[in-house]
Amino acid sequence: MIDLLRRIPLFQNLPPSDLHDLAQITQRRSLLAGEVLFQQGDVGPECFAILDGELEIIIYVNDAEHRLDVYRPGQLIGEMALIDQSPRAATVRALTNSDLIVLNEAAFLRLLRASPDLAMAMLRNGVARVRHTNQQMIGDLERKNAELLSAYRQLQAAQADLIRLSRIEEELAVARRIQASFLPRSLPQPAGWTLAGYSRGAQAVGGDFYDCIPLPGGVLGLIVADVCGKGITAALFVALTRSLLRAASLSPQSFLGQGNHDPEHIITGAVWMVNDYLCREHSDNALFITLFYAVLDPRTGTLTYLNAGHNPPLIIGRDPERSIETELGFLPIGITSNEPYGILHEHLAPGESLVAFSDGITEAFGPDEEQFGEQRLDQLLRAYAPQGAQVMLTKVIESVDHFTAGLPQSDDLTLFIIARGCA
Amino acid sequence: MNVEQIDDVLVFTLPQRLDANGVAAVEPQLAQQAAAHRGKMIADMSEVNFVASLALRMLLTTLKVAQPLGGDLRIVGLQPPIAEIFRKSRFDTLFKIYPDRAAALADYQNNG
Repeated sequence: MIDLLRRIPLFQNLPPSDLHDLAQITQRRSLLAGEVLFQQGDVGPECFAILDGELEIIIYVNDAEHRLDVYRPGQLIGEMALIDQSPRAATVRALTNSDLIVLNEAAFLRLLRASPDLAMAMLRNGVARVRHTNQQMIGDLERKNAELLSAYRQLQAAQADLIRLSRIEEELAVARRIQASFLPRSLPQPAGWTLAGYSRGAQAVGGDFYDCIPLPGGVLGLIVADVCGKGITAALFVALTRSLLRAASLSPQSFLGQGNHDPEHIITGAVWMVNDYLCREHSDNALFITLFYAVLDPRTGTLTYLNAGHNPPLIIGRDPERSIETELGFLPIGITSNEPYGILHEHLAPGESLVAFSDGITEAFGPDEEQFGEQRLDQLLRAYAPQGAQVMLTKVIESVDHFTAGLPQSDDLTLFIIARGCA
Repeated sequence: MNVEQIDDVLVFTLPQRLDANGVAAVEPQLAQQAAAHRGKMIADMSEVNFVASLALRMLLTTLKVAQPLGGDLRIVGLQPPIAEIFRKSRFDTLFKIYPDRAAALADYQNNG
């Protein structure tokens, strides 16, 4: 044991007699790698000098293990608890197989009394350890402080993002309200006729619209349009197109410089003007608009119309077996300023309806990627035609919603139905 | 998107689904190559089974880039539902449309 004690630098200068006495009251202890020497909070009546091996000093903070230090041969462990009689401040665990000398309280006191140099060396050890721990704690605090600051900055940025998003959402809500105000609040219901319209954007604002403009002479301007694309860009073109069409239709003298108020001139004049304006002012955007514009004389059932690339509206009730596609027209507006837009005519007899729609209806996708399609639309319209425009419209929208089974709406959808009751 | 040059004609094979995402995926490449090529082009749509209006806009933009430079964009291989969309929107009057790329290439060859 004396030879073992001499391997510890702290004990090397002890007089042989003291070393001899010390050898009588010390023991050896071996630890396997991973074995715990003592736990944080244990009561500690002894300290240890390391002969061989490495031991780690561990503390637990919020159940997480932190290694404070690693002790090596020649170093003393656990003397703090012996000095102030307090529970162990940390856990000590063998990193490798280790060999220790166990010094109980009597042996420890004897050592201190035997050699003031040794006591001083131990004090130095202790002070150095406290300083080291302090520095570590300050380092930890600085690191934690930096982490907190960074987290605070991230929070501030996230909050700024939230505020910005919420502003955008507020503005979109306003835009949606304004766009809704572009749609007719109510539709006229001339004697012998029912009219129903519906438009719903796939996003906050949409690129479809329908309109009904009461024109001089008791006739009605009926419009369904679909701006290519959807969302805000399309919505801005909806606002532009809808307003220009309405103004040009209601005030042809001001806008078109013509005194002729017959339906053909109103339609061609308004469509020509809007197309010319879009091609001249907005051709860079390459946005086009499909547009169906009809003027209905409810007294006669005469329908005067222009189709600029829109899905041909369907006539229901003329052929009991199928719906009839109205004639094809011309290119959508906004593509070429010299498109020779011309007028077509139809006549709706009692029991017949005209159904104008956007492709958001027929191209609505179901869960298995199937499209709603024209056949379903045709069957529904024919089945409910006798019940008037509103019932037909409600049944189609319900059926599209049922078909898409809650999937996000893939495109703006619009439906506008004019039904002539049976005589 | 597959792009190949056959003699002096640039042939784009458009992907199956030309919805907003499909268009966003091919439009930059189409625009860049059409602007660089400045000549005869074919959009092979034989694989396309859905076109959103944005896809028509993409084709229109490409046509508008090509024509002032003496080039053209011709369409081939429209599946029946897509041909219906071209018919109803009257885009069939904007483009020269052929059943397949051989017919379009032959017409480019014989008539420019």
